[in-house]
Amino acid sequence: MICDLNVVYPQDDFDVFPGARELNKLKGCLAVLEQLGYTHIALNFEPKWTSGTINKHMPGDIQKVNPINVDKDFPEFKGRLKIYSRITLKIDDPSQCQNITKFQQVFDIVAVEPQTERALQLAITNLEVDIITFNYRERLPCYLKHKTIGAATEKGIHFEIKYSDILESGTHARAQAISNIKQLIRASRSRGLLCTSGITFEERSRARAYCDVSVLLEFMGLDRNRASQAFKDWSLDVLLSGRLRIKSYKQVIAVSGDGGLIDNSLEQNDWSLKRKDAPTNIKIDARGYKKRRLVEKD
Amino acid sequence: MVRLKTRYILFEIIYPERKTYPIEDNFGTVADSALSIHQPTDSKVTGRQIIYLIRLSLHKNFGDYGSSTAVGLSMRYFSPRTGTGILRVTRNNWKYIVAAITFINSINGEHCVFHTINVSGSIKKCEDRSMQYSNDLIRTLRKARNAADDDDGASILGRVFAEDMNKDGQGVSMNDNRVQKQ
Repeated sequence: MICDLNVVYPQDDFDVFPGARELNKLKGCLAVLEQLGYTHIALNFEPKWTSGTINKHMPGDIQKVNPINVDKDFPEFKGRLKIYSRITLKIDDPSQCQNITKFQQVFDIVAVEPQTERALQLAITNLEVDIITFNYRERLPCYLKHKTIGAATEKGIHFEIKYSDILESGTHARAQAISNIKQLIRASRSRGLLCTSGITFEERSRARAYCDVSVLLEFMGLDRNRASQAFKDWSLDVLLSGRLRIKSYKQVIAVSGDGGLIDNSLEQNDWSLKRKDAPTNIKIDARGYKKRRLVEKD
Repeated sequence: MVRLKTRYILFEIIYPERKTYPIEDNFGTVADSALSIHQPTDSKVTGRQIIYLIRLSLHKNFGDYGSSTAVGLSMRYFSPRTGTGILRVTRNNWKYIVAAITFINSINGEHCVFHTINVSGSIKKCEDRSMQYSNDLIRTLRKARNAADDDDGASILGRVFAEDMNKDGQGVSMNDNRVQKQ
């Protein structure tokens, strides 16, 4: 169970969909990761707008918010890889984050990239997110204090390290990335970290096996055990918390399928074939099951 | 009496972006993607060349201090056909060497990924692991071949296997023998 929760989806707009060529290259990425031993992969949709401007561009229809359709676009990987969808939203204006709850209905994992210190504070205290990430190639928005990071870890929010930032040698961005990652590891006291690849569809040969990356992390001050936890336990924690958010209702959990809780198969079943105007991409949560039963009774 | 302590690193070179034989960008099954990614290294590439690449990467990423860790570095086994090799390093320095290997991204201008499979204190265990690894790979391919045979060779994979059999009469088990011979 080795996870890579960030493979960038080749799309940054809600309306412009990736072509067959891009998707095929993305499949190449997934195949490489599969050969390197990964089993759980999240496709990351990064809208180009920040939280302040995204409202204008978001489609009103909620089923069009998630462009990643794993069942339709990646049928080859069924039974080989477990693929999830993730959104990463850049937060610049902390007052406009209401749409995060909307994203939780359609994506498996919700991540935010705070761009100011206030946004980071807000993400930790108020927002219901799974992952906080940064742009490691540039300066961090603020100095990371143990108190804030520790509060987030306590709450169950995880911080992400992208190893593709440190593979390219001889650039200033890489030095900056290494210093930022060291700062994050120090501030979090090596707890609650994720390590992901962050590769795009064109950078297939940037993927590395997890044991190689954990040696690199060791150089940055994360010990061996924690480095393996970043790929295994903590990543699974993130998937699980995302799962629980949509599969639990008032402390009752829906368990299904062979994969138990971390399994997408039931939600992706088209429950609503009988009904007209059925949403296709929405995860049915526990409340949804209840509603469905009510509808069927009528 | 002080013994010289060593570590052996078993690694493999894979080519994610090569688009030649046997299957071009086909990831339909596990076997297809295994075949299109695990490809043979250019037969001109020697162990010495890879040692040179590692030294270069050490110097680039860790400076002169890092270069000093390459003192006991030698290639004990390298087979371009399977792309696997075993490196011998002094025990204290193995992390630098593995990190340097991770940073390498091309051989002779072709994109590649170095994948460390095993680090061990004895070369015997590395050899065992190497055999196990290639056996696993061959098992997935055999399974696919059996499935393809049922298809009467209609699938792409079936045709590739048929070509392979005509060429050297051994099929994919070639790789297997190579490793066992050492």
